[in-house]
Amino acid sequence: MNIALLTHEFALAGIALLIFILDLSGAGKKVTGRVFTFSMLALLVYVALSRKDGVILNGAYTADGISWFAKLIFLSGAFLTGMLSTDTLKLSDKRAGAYYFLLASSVLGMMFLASSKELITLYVSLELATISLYALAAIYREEVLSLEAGIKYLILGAVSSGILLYGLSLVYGVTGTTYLEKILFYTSANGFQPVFVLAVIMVILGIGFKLSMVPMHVWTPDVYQGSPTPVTAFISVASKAAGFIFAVRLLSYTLIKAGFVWEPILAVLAFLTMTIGNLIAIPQKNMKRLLAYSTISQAGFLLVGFIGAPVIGVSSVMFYLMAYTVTNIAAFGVVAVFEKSTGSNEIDDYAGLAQTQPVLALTLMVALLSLAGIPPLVGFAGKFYLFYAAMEKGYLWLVIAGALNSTISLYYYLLILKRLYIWDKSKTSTLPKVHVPAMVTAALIICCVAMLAMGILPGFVIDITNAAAEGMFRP
Amino acid sequence: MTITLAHYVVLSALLFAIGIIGILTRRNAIGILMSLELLFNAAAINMVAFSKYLTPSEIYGDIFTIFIIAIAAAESVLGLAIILAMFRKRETVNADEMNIMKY
Repeated sequence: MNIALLTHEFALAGIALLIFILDLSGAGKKVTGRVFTFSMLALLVYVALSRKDGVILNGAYTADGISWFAKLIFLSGAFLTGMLSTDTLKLSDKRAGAYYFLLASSVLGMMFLASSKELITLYVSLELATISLYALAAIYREEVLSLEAGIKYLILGAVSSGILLYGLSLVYGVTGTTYLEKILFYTSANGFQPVFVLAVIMVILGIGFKLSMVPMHVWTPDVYQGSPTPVTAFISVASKAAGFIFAVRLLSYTLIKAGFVWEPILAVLAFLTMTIGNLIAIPQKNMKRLLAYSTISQAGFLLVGFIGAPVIGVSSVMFYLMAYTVTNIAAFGVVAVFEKSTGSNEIDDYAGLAQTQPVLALTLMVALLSLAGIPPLVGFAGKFYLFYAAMEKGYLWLVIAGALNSTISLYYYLLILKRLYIWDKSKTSTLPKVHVPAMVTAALIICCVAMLAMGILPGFVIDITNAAAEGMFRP
Repeated sequence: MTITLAHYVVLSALLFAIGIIGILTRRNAIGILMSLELLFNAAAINMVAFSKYLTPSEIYGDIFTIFIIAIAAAESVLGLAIILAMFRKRETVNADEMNIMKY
């Protein structure tokens, strides 16, 4: 057994333990925060440079292109979240260690998830990633909003995980194995069985929670609003990416023979997710709630690509997840510093930000335009590729619906930008001036550069995701 | 009467249904957590029964059940901890009153 394949996970577990020990020895939040952030950066570079391929544990654990790229997404999300956290968290020195430890263990769960090809491993790593996030959502235990976010996240998350588990138990009951390869072999050899319909619906509902897909989206706005803003940023990017990796492994790869069941279901749900998310976003007054509904609609766009032709669909989803990570963290980074300085998340309070903090306002504009899919930013290239994948499969109606939804989303993003740049000059804001800490500035610069670079030259990243997706489907 | 696989599957389906109904109708957050346990137990019974009747020579279902029990315990502990912190702030464990954020 080639234990070297697990080096990345062992390194991350070591980092988590190091933070734990630092916390016990009384290091403050500045120290643990910087240790977390820079070790995430080091690990990100290490994973990017040392790609390993192979299979261990009888096929339960696979290192391939998809898992490698997914780990890059999770680690960039964790690194950028760490940069946002160090100066914007309202935690005491005593509790900050727990915060970074939970963040590291959540990333560890996601990294295991990306490599698992066996139901038990998949389920346990999914829960490691999610249970850490429940605790993170409720980490401001003096604030009722944060506690309410935590309890809502936990109860709805546990319901969906119970449904997912029941679906997985049915898959096990039909095939008699928990290994994805053997399940794929079974479905190829024995054809389709009716009980798979029930299993697939339950699995879709279970994963739908992680993706914030209609009808499992109701938790999203409440959890996003109540959680600490850096945690919201992390949930919105990394947890969604983990859900899509799970879906890619289980639906597009293992249950591809049951595609005629899940494809039409997901096509309808993708349409509903985009439309409902966008329409409810329009009247929102709270910035974090608005971004929550915007991430619901983004999940709809991702699903459009997901049901596309196998290889290109997976490739487009991976590319968009990377694009979405840098874009959304930039948006939430601006929200985090604004909230830290002014204590407000109301969109009306953003009025005139372009005058007091022109660069911050510009960053928010770049992020929102990228979310809306305006060239030359990466959101455009990503959405174009997602729609292209769906067209390859012939989902013309869905692509038209997606294009219309892009336009609706542009409307409410422009409503925010209008407040930033055109405001009532007679009413001078009474809120304190927004202060941007150095770490957050660095994170925002990284995000903006990535948005522009990947938007102007998407080919580099698309080549990588294409190769990764082809590698997964090659027998 | 001999107990067959069908009995176990019906039992687990019933437990699952009771759990879902409990989550939808309970007002007390502790009651919701208890109904959640039923969901996990339903899946666990399925796993053990399939393992016993379909693949008696292998133990994947049994191992899965042990992990399900551990994870369900972790989830309940965290849920109780958050409910306790909530109770300290608001003096209630009623799920209907956890409604500061809506729409």
